[in-house]
Amino acid sequence: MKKKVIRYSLVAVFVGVTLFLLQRLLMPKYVDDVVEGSLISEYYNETTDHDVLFVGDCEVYENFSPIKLWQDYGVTSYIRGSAQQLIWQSYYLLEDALRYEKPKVVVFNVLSMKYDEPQKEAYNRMSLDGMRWSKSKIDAINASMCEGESFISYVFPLLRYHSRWSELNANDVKYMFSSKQISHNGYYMRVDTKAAENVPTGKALSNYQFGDNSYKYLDKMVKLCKDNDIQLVLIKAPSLYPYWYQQWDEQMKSYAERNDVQYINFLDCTKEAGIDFNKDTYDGGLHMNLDGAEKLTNYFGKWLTDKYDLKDHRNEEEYKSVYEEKIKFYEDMKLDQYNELKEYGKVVSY
Amino acid sequence: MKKIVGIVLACTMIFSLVACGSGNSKEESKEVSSAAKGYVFSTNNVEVAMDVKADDVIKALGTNYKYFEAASCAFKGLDKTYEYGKAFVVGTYPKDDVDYISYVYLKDNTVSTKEGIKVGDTIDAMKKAYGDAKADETGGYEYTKDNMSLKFISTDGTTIDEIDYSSNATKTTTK
Repeated sequence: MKKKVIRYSLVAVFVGVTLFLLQRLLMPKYVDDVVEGSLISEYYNETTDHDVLFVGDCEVYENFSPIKLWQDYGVTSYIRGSAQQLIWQSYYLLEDALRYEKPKVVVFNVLSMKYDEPQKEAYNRMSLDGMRWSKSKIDAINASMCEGESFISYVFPLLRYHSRWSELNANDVKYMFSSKQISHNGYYMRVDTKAAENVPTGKALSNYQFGDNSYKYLDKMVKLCKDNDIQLVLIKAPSLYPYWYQQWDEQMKSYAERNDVQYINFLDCTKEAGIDFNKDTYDGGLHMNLDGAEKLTNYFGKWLTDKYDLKDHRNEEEYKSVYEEKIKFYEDMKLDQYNELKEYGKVVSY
Repeated sequence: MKKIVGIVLACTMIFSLVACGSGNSKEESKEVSSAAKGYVFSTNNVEVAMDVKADDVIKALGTNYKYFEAASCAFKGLDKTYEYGKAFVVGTYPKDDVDYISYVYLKDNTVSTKEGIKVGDTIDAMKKAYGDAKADETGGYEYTKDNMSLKFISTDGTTIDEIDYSSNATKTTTK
């Protein structure tokens, strides 16, 4: 009897370990392409807290540089951004972050108000797979699933990714138990330039009203911030596409007034921030390149430090050495990208 | 020993089978067809149908367009937009390195649908041409056919402001 128990236990352990290893091998590593998929999990590597936390879609993680915010103002910040991050995902990512720290200011990009329901599984995965398990993650999954998705496949991603075996490459083995640092406190860097031309205007909509579900989560975000004594700043990043309608802008202005939160539409202050869409974007006006992101960050940093009591931490030992290392990684990547640009005429590894 | 091997194989098979039906991490779309289906927009003898390969269609429409492209954050490839003056816009999506027609929207009354409806016409005329329909929750009138949609946008409920042909191939629905 005892022998049988031991034998079955060994089998169970063997099967468990095998499946675990398979899962680690088959899960996407997001290092060769679509690197944005690794952004969410990088947050958990942070060793110091942050005064400002950004949540939102690519319009935050490709337009603002926390390293620049540190260099210019000594403000610590992090971007919990992911591709097409939906508002309920932003809410639960904020809730998740509050388990680790309490920022003074939370910045949320309002473009995702346009999506009132889940959109695509590929985007869900990039926002949710990297989250650590918590009630917030469970709620985020339940709020996000599209038709054909199952909760169990988030618990055991092997069920989802088993068919990747034919796409495996050396990086799937190399990064089975580790990850490659992609971002700079959540910021995705690009130094190349592609001027904004022929940006399409928005097509007519029959209804410009944001949906009830979007408002429900915006209300929850406002309440979560108020309950935690956090200042919430709603922003619309200065991305020219997707189109931001005047009717949407008016709704956000009115919402901010009603709820006593700040709202800044950076599309209205690009000149003031010194942004030139011929030079400061790397993809034709969707996102800033490094120059554009640094200009925008400097502009926003001034606004943030004028408005709120944000401490300059640059002379504090606790942060100094950490940010020295971050700046080195930032400058090294910058140099590497410029070298690639010189050698190949484009950025090839990022 | 045989039992152990059997259990291990069974577990592996179960996990493999349960997983069937899932795709990979890249953007997925339903099967696309090269044959024109659904409602088709036609201008200057060029037919623009949803989910057909875009290259030949774009060539046939001529070079008088403004081009814009947007990279996706979730998959390789570009969503492309071709704007033909103030008349209409054609959009494409990539799949396996090939671009397919994703949408067409008609912006002014210089072009019309094959069934003869153009921007500025009345909702009543639309109903006569396409059959009765109720406004959806966003105030649009939608007709679906062969995994594509034709939507008429009206902000005042009586006059058509814009006409949208769109593929349903890359759309997902809420669970």
